[in-house]
Amino acid sequence: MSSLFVIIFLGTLFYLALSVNVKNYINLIGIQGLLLFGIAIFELHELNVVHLILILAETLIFKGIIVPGLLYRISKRNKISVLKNNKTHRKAKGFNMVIITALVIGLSFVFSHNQQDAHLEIQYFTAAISAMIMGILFITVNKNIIIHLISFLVIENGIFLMAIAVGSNMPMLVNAAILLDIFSSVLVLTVFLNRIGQFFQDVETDQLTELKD
Amino acid sequence: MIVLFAIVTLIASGLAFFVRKQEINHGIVILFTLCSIAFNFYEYLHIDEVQLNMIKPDALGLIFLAIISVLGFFTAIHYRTYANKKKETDRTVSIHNSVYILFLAALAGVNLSNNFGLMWAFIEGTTLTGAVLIYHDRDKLALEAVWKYVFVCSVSITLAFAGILFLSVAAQGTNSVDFQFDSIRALAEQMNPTWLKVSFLFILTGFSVKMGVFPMFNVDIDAKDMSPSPIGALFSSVLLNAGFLAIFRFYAAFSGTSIQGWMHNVLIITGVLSILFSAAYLIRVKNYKRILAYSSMEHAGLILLAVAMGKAGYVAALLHIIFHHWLNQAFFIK
Repeated sequence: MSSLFVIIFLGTLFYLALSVNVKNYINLIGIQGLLLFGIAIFELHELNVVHLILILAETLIFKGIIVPGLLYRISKRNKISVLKNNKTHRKAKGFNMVIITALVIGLSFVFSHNQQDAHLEIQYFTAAISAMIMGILFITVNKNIIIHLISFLVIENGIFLMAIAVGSNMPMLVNAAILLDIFSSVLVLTVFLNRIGQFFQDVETDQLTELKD
Repeated sequence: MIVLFAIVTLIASGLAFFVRKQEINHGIVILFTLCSIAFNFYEYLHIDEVQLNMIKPDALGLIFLAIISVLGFFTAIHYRTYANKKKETDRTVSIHNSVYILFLAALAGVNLSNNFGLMWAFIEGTTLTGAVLIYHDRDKLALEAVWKYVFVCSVSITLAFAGILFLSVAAQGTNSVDFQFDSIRALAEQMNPTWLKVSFLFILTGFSVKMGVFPMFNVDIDAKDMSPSPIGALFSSVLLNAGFLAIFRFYAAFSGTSIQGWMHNVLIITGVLSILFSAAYLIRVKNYKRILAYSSMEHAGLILLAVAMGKAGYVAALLHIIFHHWLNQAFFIK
């Protein structure tokens, strides 16, 4: 079952590469949150209530509900539904991105399989590395600030999978602090994103070029 | 004592937020910085004592904590003058002071942490509180600077977190890793050197945004430029410290392994590139605050070079940090 979740997760990366609709991006990030919840539950070796609450808060509530909800509000308020540039250009770019996504996933899979480590969960490791690379790639190829924020969330999801893949055992307090930090950083980013929508004509990086040397 | 300091921080921050009379508000912050100095002294008396399993004031952390406490005190006094001169509103001052207290506490946490994960969380805390301090003027330029700062910092620090997780991969086959500095140092020799290198690269790249060195230095320059001068001074000094300390903790943990020479090379490359980039920009830039910001970057590059020179270099790096911070603070405020 967890393999199915990982395959769907990788599928969302392809869809993110193709999409021109901001709503789709937001939906996909919500779906990734739900998938991570499923994966985390499957990987829960012992039933620990605090751990369960932490996972529930981080994946289902935060990544699956709150963040997509906030992004919907911002895109609606700032009237951003479709990415700028003409559709044909974006589709061509999307096609190239699909090929790149396939390459990234393929190479990540080969790389993960070459790790001679019995403790490493290869399927999660592949998905984690792919998500991190694709997140950085989405940031570099898109100019829309909402897509930047969504790409950052994709990287965060990759990190979450990485933590599962390597079986990280941070103390509970540290886990809670990390969760709080990630939650706050996304909240702060959405607040400033909203401000950018009010101050500037577009939420594109082209607007943010006043500060340079 | 740690718990008490955390409680004092929260109370002082809350009071600074709700008390809208400016003189009382400044008084609260100055009082907090005095408490911070007293806390520093207490920790000095309990040097190398593990507290709450994850806090351990070692010599390096305490020196940096002392710098934070003293510079934090002077910055609070200077901000009072700055706010009076600029005729800031009560709301702006109370938001600034409230977040300033949290910013100092997060920096103290970075210096006292004995756990890589906790240190990461405190560093991310400095990003979030720093964002509010940068957005002080609430205009278009401040918004541009703060967006770039928070976004790039968040992405970079996420990469640093990936570096911390790669430690787990490096440590597979050894005893369980609990991410405490001491246990990582003890286990480092048995860890996979390739993964240690990957981990170090991610950590250096991630925390370079805080230290203001190559490759993630750009947003740091904008942040120092757009924030009020006293805060720009702090970003150039104690925040640089936080980034340096984070990188140095990992460097120290891995230094007993076969990758030490490789780490020196990486630090030399990073240091030299930082100096070259800052020198190139220093020729072009006319804005006084940006000149100081690039100068800080140049000094940070020199500090990394000093560390790469080995043990004698550590002392040089430390002295450089201390002197640079005092002078930089003075220049920024002047």
